[in-house]
Amino acid sequence: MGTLQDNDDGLVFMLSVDGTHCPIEEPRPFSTEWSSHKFGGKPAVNYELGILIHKPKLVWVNGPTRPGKHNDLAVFRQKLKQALSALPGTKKAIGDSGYRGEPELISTRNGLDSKEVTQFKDRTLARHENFNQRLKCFACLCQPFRHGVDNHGYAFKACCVLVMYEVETGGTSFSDAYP
Amino acid sequence: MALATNDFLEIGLKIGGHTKWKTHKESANVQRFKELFGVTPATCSSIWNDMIGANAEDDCHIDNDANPVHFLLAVRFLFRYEREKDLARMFGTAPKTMRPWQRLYVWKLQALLQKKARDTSHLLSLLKRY
Repeated sequence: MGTLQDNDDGLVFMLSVDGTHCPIEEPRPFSTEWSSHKFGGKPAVNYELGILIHKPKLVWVNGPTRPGKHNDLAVFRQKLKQALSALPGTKKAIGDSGYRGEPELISTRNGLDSKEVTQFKDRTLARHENFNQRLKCFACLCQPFRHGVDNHGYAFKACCVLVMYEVETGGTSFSDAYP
Repeated sequence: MALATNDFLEIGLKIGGHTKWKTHKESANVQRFKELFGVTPATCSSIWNDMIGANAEDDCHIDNDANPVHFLLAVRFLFRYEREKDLARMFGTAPKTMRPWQRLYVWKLQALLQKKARDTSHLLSLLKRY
């Protein structure tokens, strides 16, 4: 719950981006668009999250989207790409290998990085996965959701609020990726 | 009305059936609260006070006479995602009575994210432009 404008001018890498799938009960009518490869083809919804790298703040939530229809990169191109492009200066996000294809806006692991940059990216992505895991501590996001896709969006955002307040009040630590 | 961390600790532990909570040390009580609701009482207090302090026209605003038990009901729902009757039994109410409160507070919680977005020109607010 920070702002995208909360970045220091000197920082190029400002955001880590990743998608996370949450299982749901099969929506009607049946469609393979809800099928998630992470759950063996069972239905799920996908959310795109963005976390500031130099502050423990969630700044982007996009979803629910259909994991069988749009992959991470397609979801990124829907909204976050335009939002990042609108920011002044050169700002990049760090993503995993699923985000290869937008080198101007998302940096992924590659063989040309120095050892320090590689370690930095690894740290950033690991930190993001850590946040995803904290969301999945809430059973409504890791058990098949029974109350429909729209309500899942509300539940997901409510869990984001709970986790971010937990970080802000010091209930749980969430380290910064910059050394 | 605004509630302190200890108020939420007391309410939550009583709901969980910890009747002798006053005789235990604070860290153990906080741990028990976290086992019940997934977050610390300080987090609950912070969210509650932000919702009370929100402007009346905000979606996340709650009145001064709101009941914190209903808020904890929504948090428990998100944390454990039990069957309705199990959740209702824990809170000593009927599923039919509990359901609207649970939905209301989940909706208020997610509205808090939107409020923060508007207050701080959060990236989420850019969503509306695209």
